Formats: sequence, structure tokens, C-alpha cells
Amino acid sequence: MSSVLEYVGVSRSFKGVPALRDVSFSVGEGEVVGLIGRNGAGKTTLINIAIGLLYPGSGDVRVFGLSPTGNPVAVKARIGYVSEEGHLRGGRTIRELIAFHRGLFDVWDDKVEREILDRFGLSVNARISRLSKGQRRQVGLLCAVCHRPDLLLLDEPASGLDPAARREFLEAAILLLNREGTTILFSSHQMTDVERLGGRIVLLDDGKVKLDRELDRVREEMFVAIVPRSSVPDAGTLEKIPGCLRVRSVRDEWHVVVEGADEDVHQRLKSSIGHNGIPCVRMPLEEIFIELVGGTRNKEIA
Amino acid sequence: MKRIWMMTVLSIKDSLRTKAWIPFFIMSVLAWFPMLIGFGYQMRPNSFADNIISNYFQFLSLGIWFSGLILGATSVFMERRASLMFTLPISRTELAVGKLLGTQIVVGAGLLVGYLISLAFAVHFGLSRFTYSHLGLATAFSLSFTYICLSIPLGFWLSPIWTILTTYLVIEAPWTLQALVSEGWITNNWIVGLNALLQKVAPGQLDRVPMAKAFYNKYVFVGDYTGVARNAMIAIIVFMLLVSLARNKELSLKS
Repeated sequence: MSSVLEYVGVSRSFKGVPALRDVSFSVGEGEVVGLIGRNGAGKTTLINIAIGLLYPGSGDVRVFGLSPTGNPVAVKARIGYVSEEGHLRGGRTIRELIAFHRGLFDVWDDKVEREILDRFGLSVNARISRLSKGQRRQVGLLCAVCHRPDLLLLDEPASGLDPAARREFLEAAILLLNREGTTILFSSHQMTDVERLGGRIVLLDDGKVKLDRELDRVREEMFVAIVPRSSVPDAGTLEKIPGCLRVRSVRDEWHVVVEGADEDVHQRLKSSIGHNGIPCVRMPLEEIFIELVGGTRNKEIA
Repeated sequence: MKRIWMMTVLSIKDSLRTKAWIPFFIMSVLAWFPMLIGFGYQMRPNSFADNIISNYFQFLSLGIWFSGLILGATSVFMERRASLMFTLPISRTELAVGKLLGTQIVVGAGLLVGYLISLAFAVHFGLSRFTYSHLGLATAFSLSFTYICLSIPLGFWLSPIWTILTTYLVIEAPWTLQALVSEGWITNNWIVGLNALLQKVAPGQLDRVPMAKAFYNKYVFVGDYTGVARNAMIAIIVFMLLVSLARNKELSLKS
């Protein structure tokens, strides 16, 4: 599988504050990758670097093997982008906006355009200024996919939408893109969005890649063990468990995220702690996310 | 070329929909004062008609310049704020050239309308020779073009207010210096030398008298258009230079 997007040791700071620290990962052709992390983790910065809006401070970024800042037009012609802000430029009405985008790209799929308009019940004569937030995102999606992009970058595409609009938007995105085999990198802090789009997840925490796994593997092979402090007073012991990703202090317990096969994880816990009976369960993605990047509740209360 | 054309059309539409025309409307109203003072409320012809109508034309031109300057200063800034245009396959050069053409077409059309209204008054009040007014119109075109050529690429770096101030200073400071030197108020050799250099290389340094006296009965020679053309060339060079400087630079997107 050839690489469509590749980050190699990318770092970036804003006014001396690091936003990305030595980030490296790649997205292969046809892959769907969810970029997750807390607010300010560096998700938008990474996407903006991929589309050439921001330049990396150090490291290298390649999109289709090209530099997005060195060959901006060639790269952007093959990218579709939907932003969190939902800005739309190019016309006063949807018709004008479509005409503007159609003029900028060599290819324009009228069938997809019609399909999106029908699916969302959008009128081409509708004024952009009178569209709701959800409708603006839908129009944004239309502009981002009708030129049949090879790479689609979605920066928190459904944030701020009500659950129904959110689901409609994501279902349309999945329907349109799975069919085409488009490579997708999307950012979100909503685990339901990530689960809906599927694929692989890259978890960013404090500007660094904390986890890069297939979603199915996260669901199947991530366990959270709840260890009473009375049985293990020192977190260091738990951190030494093979496959341990994080130990978090929650009141009088340790929450330990361990990766591995079911039997194997139990065995490792037993041999590290010295006894059985430690509850170790699979958690929903959202819980795993909180365990991996959440703060220490004890400290927060203090 | 197609992308430049798309940008030009968008720029024309944007230009017509903004509030940047407020200075023009204000100047259009003010332009009636010299007319009313000169011709009286009954609008009777008199021997000062050439001067009065020239003033009217100059007022309109000034209004259009200011509007053009605001249009130029806000056009790239607006894109930086929305940032979406920079995610589309259009280079910064194409974007700037498209905006320059679009804005100049709108401003040029405004100047032409102002000129035609002035011309209609000139005919109505019995003036008959208009060759000098053609040079006046060309001067107004050239100056407005200079303002736009500077303000559009400066928008890649600066906010509208700083773009307006910088553009105004770059064009008007040498012009004011020239006025001071020619009046003999400044005689320092170093400054006089600098002034001579600026008159050759700075944009916007052309004879503005044809615009102020556009409807005077004066002869015009082909050579009189040299300054207009030279100024337009300098403006294009400055524009290209600024755009090339902005081409490979990270933009501040949320100002």
C-alpha cells in the first residue's frame, strides 16, 4: 500500500509553545484514519500542515510524494478539505459556489453533486448566508468531494452539529467515500464519529502521537485494569507491565490501560501484581480515550 | 488562466457587494458642492465651467480611489481570515492577479462612469474641447491602479488598516516631498537627491495636474502619456515583487 500522506518527525511551535513534537506516521492509499485527541492536542495543526496552510517547524511532510508548500497547486488539486469553521468562499448562493469550485478543478462529478444536493435537500438557489450550520457543512462536503479527491481532510467536520445533523453528515461522507476508495484523514474528539467512520486511529496527546492502531484492535485488545492502591502502592510497578500504555490515579485506585490478547493480559497482570482477582475489562472507545489522555482525577479535585 | 479568471469574477462580485463604496458615495455627494457653488442652484453656465467640472471629476476620482484602496486592502485579508481559499488549487500569484484585475475592472468602471457624468456636464455647459480630459482620465486610471497594485499584495502580511496606511505613505510621501522641494521649502542636497531618485522609481509619482484640470481647454501631446504609462509599469513591477515575496511564506491566517 503506497503512502498518500506522510509525516516524518514533524514539530511545530506557536510563539514558543510547542503544538507538535516529533510527529511521525503515514496514511496509506484508501485508508481511513481518525486523528483524535483533546482540544489543543495538535489535530488541526497537523491537518493544516498537510494542506499547506501551515509550515512545519522541523521535519518533513509529503502528500502524494510532494511537499504541500513546494507544490501547493498540484497537491491541493487532489485534496478535498472541510474545516471546522465551515467557511464557504466563492459565491453568494450554492449555485455560484459550485460554479466557482467547478472552475478551479479539472474534474467535477455532476452525479455526486446532484446526489448530495438531493440527499440533504439543498436548493442551488439558497443563499449561503441563510444556511444553518449543518447545511453549511453539507455544502462544504459537496465542494470537497465533487472533484473526486484522492485525499479528504476533515477537520472536526461535525463539531457543533446536533446529533441528527451529525449522523446525516457522517453517513453521507461514509457513503460517498467508501464507494470511491478515497483516503481520509479526519480529526475529532467525538469517539462516536471515530467509530462511525472506522479505520485506524492516531491519538495525539500534547503534540505527540500516543497511540496509532487499527480501530478493531483498540476495541479487541485494549483493557483497563482497576487496581486498588492498597495492593500496589507504587505506580512504577504497574508501568513495568508489558503492554502497559498508561497508569492513571483515580481516588484510591490505579486505572491501568494494557494492550494485548485477552488471556495474555490477565496473565501479565497476575505475574506483575502477584495475585488474581483484579478486574480487567474491555471498555468502550470513549472510556479508553479518557483513560489514555484524561487527567488524574485526584489531582484535579485537589 | 482559467483560475485567474475565476478569481477575477469572484473579486468583481465581492467588490460590488462590500461597504468599501461608502467613501465613493460620500465624495459623490461632496462633489455637488463645487457644482452648486460654481453654477448656482439654477445651474447657469458661466466662464468658470472648466474649473468647476474639473473639480467635480476630481472629487469623484478621489472617492473611487479611496474605495479602490479599501477594496484592495481588504481583499487578501478577507481570504486570510476565512483561510479556505488557500486550501483550494489556486496559487497565491493567481489569487493576487485575479484580485488585481477584478478590483481594477470595478474601479476603472467607476472612474469611467464618473468621467462620463462629468463629460455630460461639460457638454451641457457648452465646453467643446476634451482632449485634455482624456489625459486626466488616464492619470486617474494610472493612480488608482497604483493604489490597488500595492494594497492587494500587502494584504498577504498586513491588516487592512496597516495596508491602507502603508500604501498611502509609499505613494503620497514622495509626492509630498516633491511638492516641498519644488516649492523651495526643502533645499538640502541629500534630500533633493533622494527626491529625484524617488520621482523615478517610486510608484504613483506622475503629474496629477491633468486630473485636477481635466476639462480645461489645453493641448495634449503623445509624450504627455509617457508618465502615465511609466507609472503603470512601476506599479506592475512593485506588485510582482511583493507577490513573489509572499509566494513561499507562511501566512498569518487568523489576524
